[in-house]
Amino acid sequence: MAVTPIEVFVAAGADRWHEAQALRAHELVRLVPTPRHATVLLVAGTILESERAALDRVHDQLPHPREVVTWDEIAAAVDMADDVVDAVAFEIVGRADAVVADPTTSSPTRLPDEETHEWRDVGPFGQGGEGMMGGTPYGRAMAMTADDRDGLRLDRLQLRLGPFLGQLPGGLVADVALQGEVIQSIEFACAGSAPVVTGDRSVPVARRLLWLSHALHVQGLDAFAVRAARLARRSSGVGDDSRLASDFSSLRRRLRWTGLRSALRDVGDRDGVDTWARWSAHLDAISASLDGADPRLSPAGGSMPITAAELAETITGLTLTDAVSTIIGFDIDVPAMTTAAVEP
Amino acid sequence: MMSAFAAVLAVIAVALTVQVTALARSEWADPFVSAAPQRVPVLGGHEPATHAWSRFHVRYYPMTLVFVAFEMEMMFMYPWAVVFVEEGAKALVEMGMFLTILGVGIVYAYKERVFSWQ
Repeated sequence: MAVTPIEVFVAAGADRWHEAQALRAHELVRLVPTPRHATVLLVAGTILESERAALDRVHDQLPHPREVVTWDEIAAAVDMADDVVDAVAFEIVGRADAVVADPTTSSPTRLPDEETHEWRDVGPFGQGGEGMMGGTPYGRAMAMTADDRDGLRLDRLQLRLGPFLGQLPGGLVADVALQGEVIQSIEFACAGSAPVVTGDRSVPVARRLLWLSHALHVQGLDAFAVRAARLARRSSGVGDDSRLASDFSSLRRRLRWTGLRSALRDVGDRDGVDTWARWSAHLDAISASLDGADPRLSPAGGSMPITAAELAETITGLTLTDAVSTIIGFDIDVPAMTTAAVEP
Repeated sequence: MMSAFAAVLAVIAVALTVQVTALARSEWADPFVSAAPQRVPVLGGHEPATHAWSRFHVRYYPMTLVFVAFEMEMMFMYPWAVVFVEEGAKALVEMGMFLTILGVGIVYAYKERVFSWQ
């Protein structure tokens, strides 16, 4: 019997973000890219004190009727790691059905229901400035022009992305200055010297497959993302799954025809290694692990530690789309990043 | 005459009734008015520092290049089509030369990344 999947937005702390991607494999739920699509907000992992307000804002951005499910509470009640995904999915479906049946139980707004910025200012449209230039419409400063690489003067938009953005790894916060679609400067809100990226071959294959699942989703290949997440669940399951390696090779063969290679080649180039090369290294590592080879003996190429500052330097000047592809291509170890930021 | 006016009035009355009923029903049926935090653009938890009202450059130079490369040839092709009927192969060769010269412009535009989204 076909069921309509429940739409879920995942707000995951850095420590559970990979695990939460496994929900893509489940047919009862569908992970959606923004809270505006979602019925259920899934909170997973440790939410830092600094992320509390951001979580509340994301929560308020879900349309009514909405419900909140906490991964860690369910995980604490279940023994097997493999069952957690099932348990979470069933909890989501149960809570969503209940809140849709009785919308008065919808989760109430957490932040104060008042505009953070005053609408009215001087000027005919309350924009506060002279004519079309400057001013603070809606209390927010208008972006002002600045020189850019083409010798044009474009508006410079300041955005703070994350920590709960569907495209970026959970917990990652980036301060971005955009002109047009080009990133003029980017800064990660964490310690600049922390080694943050793992290409470590000792990473479990399930985590790598979950990375692949999310990365495929970001590239718009959602059907493949579901397949990768299913492989991840099978790889972490008990017992010997002899067909896992051949199923992964079949997935990898099919990826050849998706245009992924031409989309990622020459993107985010650093020391002659581009995003496609990083993807290939990840995929090689998965193949090697599934074939039973000692992952430490497989050829290097994926192990490229990079600091937050170096990452920022790599993606400055790229378009936003390419920048996101590049960040994802690195499989960033955000917990290492945030703990480094907390420690003095 | 009066009956025509009556018909118009009746239509207006029905339209108003439907409108008012629909509005009142939606007010009554939906107890949730969107809250202030809900109207903020989704950035993953934070608010935008700048207003979304931002200006961008029209890029006149690439636009002109693209216009000349793709539009001007079409403009000349219509009168050429008439001449082609009379002249035949000679006109075809001449148009080929003209398109080749314009094609250089397209190659230049491609090299300057006019066609890539930015």
